[in-house]
Amino acid sequence: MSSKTLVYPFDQQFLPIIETKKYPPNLEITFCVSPKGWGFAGKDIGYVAYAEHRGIQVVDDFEAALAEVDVVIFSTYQKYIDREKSVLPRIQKAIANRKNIYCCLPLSGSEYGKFSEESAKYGANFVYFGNECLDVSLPIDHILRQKRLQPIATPVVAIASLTEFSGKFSLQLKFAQYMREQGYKVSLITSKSYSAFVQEHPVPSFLFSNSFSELDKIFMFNGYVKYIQDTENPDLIVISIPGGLLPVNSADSSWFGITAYEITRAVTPDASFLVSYFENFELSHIDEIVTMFNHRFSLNVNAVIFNNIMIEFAEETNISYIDSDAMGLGEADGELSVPIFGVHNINESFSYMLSTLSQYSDIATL
Amino acid sequence: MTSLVHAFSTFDGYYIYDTNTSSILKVPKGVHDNFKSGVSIELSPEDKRIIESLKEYGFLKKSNIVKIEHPYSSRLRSLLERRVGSITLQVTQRCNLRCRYCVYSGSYNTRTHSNSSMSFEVARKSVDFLISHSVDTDNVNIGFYGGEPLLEFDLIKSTVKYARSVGEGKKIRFGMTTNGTVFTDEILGYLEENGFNLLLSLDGPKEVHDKNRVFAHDGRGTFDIIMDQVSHIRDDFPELYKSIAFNAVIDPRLEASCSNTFFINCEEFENANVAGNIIGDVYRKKQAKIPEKFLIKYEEEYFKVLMSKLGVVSDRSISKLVYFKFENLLGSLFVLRNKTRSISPHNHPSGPCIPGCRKLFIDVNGNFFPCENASESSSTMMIGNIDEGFDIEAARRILNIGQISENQCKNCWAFRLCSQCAIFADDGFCLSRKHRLARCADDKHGFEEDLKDYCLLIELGFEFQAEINKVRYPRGIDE
Repeated sequence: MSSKTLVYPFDQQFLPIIETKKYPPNLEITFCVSPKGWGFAGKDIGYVAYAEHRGIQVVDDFEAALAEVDVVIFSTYQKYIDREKSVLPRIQKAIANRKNIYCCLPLSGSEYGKFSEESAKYGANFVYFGNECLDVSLPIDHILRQKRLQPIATPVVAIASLTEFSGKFSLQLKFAQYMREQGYKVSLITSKSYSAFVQEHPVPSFLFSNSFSELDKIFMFNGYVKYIQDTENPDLIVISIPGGLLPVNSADSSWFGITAYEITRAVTPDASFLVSYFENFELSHIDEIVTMFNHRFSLNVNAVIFNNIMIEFAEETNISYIDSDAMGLGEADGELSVPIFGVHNINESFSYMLSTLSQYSDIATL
Repeated sequence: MTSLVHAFSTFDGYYIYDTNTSSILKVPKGVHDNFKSGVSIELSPEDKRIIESLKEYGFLKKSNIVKIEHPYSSRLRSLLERRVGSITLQVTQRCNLRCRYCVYSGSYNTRTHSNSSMSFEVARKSVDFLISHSVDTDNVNIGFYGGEPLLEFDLIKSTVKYARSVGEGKKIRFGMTTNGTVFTDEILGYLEENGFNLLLSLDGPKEVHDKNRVFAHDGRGTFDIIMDQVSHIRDDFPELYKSIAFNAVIDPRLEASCSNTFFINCEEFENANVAGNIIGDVYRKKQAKIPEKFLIKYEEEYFKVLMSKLGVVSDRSISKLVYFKFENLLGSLFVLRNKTRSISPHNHPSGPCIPGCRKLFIDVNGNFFPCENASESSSTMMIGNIDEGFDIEAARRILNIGQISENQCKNCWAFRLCSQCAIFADDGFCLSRKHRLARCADDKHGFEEDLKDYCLLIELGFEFQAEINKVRYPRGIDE
């Protein structure tokens, strides 16, 4: 029997996990709770990202919902909330009410210690996913002594985005789900720290560490992918590249594409999706950046996905969701070297990618 | 078809503003003359080579615009549904003053004083509307406006209390435009405690301020009362004092109104944020001609501001009221001038904000207007009401104001510098092409002057980025 579950604080960060059912199978998502000020109460959960209706209404009364569930998921969130006043006390309350807790929120060492102790005291089960950690034992010393790239024979699909906040996480979960439904075994390396919660691999934290040289990181990431390939024997490896590929302006670097460069030195993707926020780009500009990414990152972009996201690049990056009907993507059909897709026909992009990968299999090189 | 450019010169240089790329190009005199005259002139081989070279690098292109349509036009419905960032509540139309230039004074086709006030029901619905229409923004503003809003202090308190009760998960900022004559310690304590930002009206020294800003019941000037309050706030409510911005209305009939150094020399205003605005002529029943003496004085004061930037004149001898003109120049020609390869074929001149998103004005009866500057008596500017929500098509018309002067706008060199929104075209009955175009010559003259000042400052060694750093990092970047 599944356990009634509450998600808090619910926003667009958790929506793809519900859409792709990437939560533990013994859970039934009963309540998605958002603070009153987020304005989602009474609306379908899909509304948080102007997406399809899912049949669950957002509510704003955490305490009332808590009384009716066995499990509470504390999710990461993109919107503003006062963590000290609104989030941590509710973790405490859930523990005091003896709920089982899945915590995807990053906690400090002392917060984690306190909640673990309290959970033991009240008999609540506290499972923590907030710190990115490798779920494999990489032979790091060996990799760094050898300093040699290992061949990756499994097809690799990269998911890259022009800038951060373009909606990559949703795309990677949906693409992996699609491929699995087609019968393929997929290993997914996501850009989220709580990958273990969605039963996938994280982008390893050594990529962002100051303890290794940039050169070492490339060899280590290559070793990481090789390890996943050898231990899981997947049909396909999907790698989500954290950050963006291009700086937006002098204030927003999108990491200058450095991580993307390192990952694509470690593994050469066979195909890739380029994900973007929506803007009235000139079509020739899209062709140019696709060519540029091929040269700069060895990314063979096979499909461009425009999410229904508008970004205002001011002092503070602002994101708005827009009605996908207002994007007018159909007008670009056939005028570009790479097909363009939107959220309304995302599955078509997946079948297009599958057929592209299938064509590759016609060419056997040893 | 000619290039979409504008040629101008300073005493030491010749320039072309290239609209498509939003670039300012330094060119030889012959190239400048070629584009300035509007007719082809005999060019030297070197000038010809330079023009060809500029063309090769993507400059000097003709207008690429085929349709005037705001880039946000198709997304307007989504934005109004999810991204309303600010509401301004007209809590009352009553006021205890009768300022002679006020838009309520009867001299304007906008509004007049009345005894109407907003009900709590309308205020509560307005807050609910803001919360449910701002799902894509973390920061929202609630402004209180009048009349004199503090005449409805109880309503303001109830509205703030309600907003706090439904605002968990939002950073809510409160603001108020006030004449500063009805403060009590209870009110000041409340405003400080709730982090209010105040815009306080003060026109300058007593002889300037009291000419216009007088009490309704006896015509007495309000300067002394306001100054007492400002000193009291500075001494006893220091946090509130930091959040006060002073707004001075500049009356061109008073030559000295723009030149005073009152805000610099008076210790009450040390580090204070002061803005000056010349009495508005939009919606004015009788257009008043600005006296030449005032214009000369104004330009002289602005010249001193520019000289202060070059270190020739002391900061303490310039008028803070004219300083905003330099800030506008800094914003439009340095901070916001994004260089691009061209203007996309479907585009709109700069100027309009997204009506309803930036500063939704809600009158005492719950009617929506793009901002408090729009006429409440103009049905053209009404974009909905609290019971029925936004009138999207009305908002779309206001957003696409450039469509009424499409042919002129498509080929206008000031396409990306334009500052006209629909208010300037509103004749009280409809959006008038004639009204809109009537301002173009003056506006373009102003843009050219800004371009000249910008280039002149650079010629004389001024560094705009250093100025920005000074504002952003007043104690130095490392701190």
